[in-house]
Amino acid sequence: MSRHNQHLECENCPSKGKGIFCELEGLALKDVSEHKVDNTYKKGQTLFVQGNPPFGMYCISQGNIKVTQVGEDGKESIVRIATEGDVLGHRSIFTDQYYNATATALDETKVCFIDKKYILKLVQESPTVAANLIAKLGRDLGAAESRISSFYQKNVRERLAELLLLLKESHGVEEDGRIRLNIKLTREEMASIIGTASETLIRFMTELKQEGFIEQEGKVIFITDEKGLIEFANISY
Amino acid sequence: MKNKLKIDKVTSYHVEAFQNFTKPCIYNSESELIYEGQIPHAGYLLLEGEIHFIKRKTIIQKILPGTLFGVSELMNRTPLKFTVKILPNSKVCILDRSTVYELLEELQSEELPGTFQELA
Repeated sequence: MSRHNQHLECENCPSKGKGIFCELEGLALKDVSEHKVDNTYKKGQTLFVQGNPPFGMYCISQGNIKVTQVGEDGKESIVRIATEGDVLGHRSIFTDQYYNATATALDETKVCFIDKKYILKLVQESPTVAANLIAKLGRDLGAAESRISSFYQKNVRERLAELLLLLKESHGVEEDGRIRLNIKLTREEMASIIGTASETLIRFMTELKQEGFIEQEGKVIFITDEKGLIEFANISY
Repeated sequence: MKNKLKIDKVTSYHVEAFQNFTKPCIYNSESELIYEGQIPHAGYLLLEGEIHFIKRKTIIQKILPGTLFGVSELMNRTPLKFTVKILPNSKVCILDRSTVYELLEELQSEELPGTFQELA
């Protein structure tokens, strides 16, 4: 069949080595490449919307996606940020539940889509893919439990410091003795992640800057004292 | 703008046949199924409700129940030249790549709509 769009092969994926299919080799990986649909999403475009039916899984090749939930009060909160090598919609593979969140591109994002029937076939044929999917579900559960306990056990200051450390893990790049967070989140988005008001977040960001834990250049945040931030976050990191 | 998307009006026979391969589902929220410039993740057979093709914030075509679209573009990896938006409470059969292969394997070409006959 003819191809009118430049198709991204798994072999050449910018996040190769980070995804759940990356351990597949040769023909098996080529088969995934031929089956998937890859697209680029612009900032603000949605991959899926809360309340709609899922029919496959999204692998993020490049960029960042925010996953948000709207509560019964109509208030939107960010439940997580997915990035290169992450997958979304994988819970739908094993359940018939509709999406309980909306996924929106935070910047220009390259995403591959693989349908549910194909994933189920892969899971049966490849124990590696099955194990990687189970491991991913396990990590998601762990992250969700940590998030819940943070909300109950930590104050806003600590949650903010913890968020910065989590962003350091996922987006941190060493630069001139500091760690640059390679993601641009608005104050509203950061406030939504830690469950506070933007004004409160701005106050505590200023506090962290005054303490010398972080610096800011435009919209870019740098962690200058990771150890101090870990103590501030009150976590054994 | 010319609409080059391949659209089929399907018969009740096709609808019944498709439902043996894919369970119909309801979109509760309005959403973009495909953005302009993207390759569809699936073909869609609209059973109830309404789907709009949108170009520069203007509706260029309204799709009504009994219409199948996106299959050829999915299988040929052809990006669309407009955005496809589904309205709330619309019911569709989603024909993803695996389902299209199943249909091509399991059914005779004369049992399938025109789009499929070009793929077979």
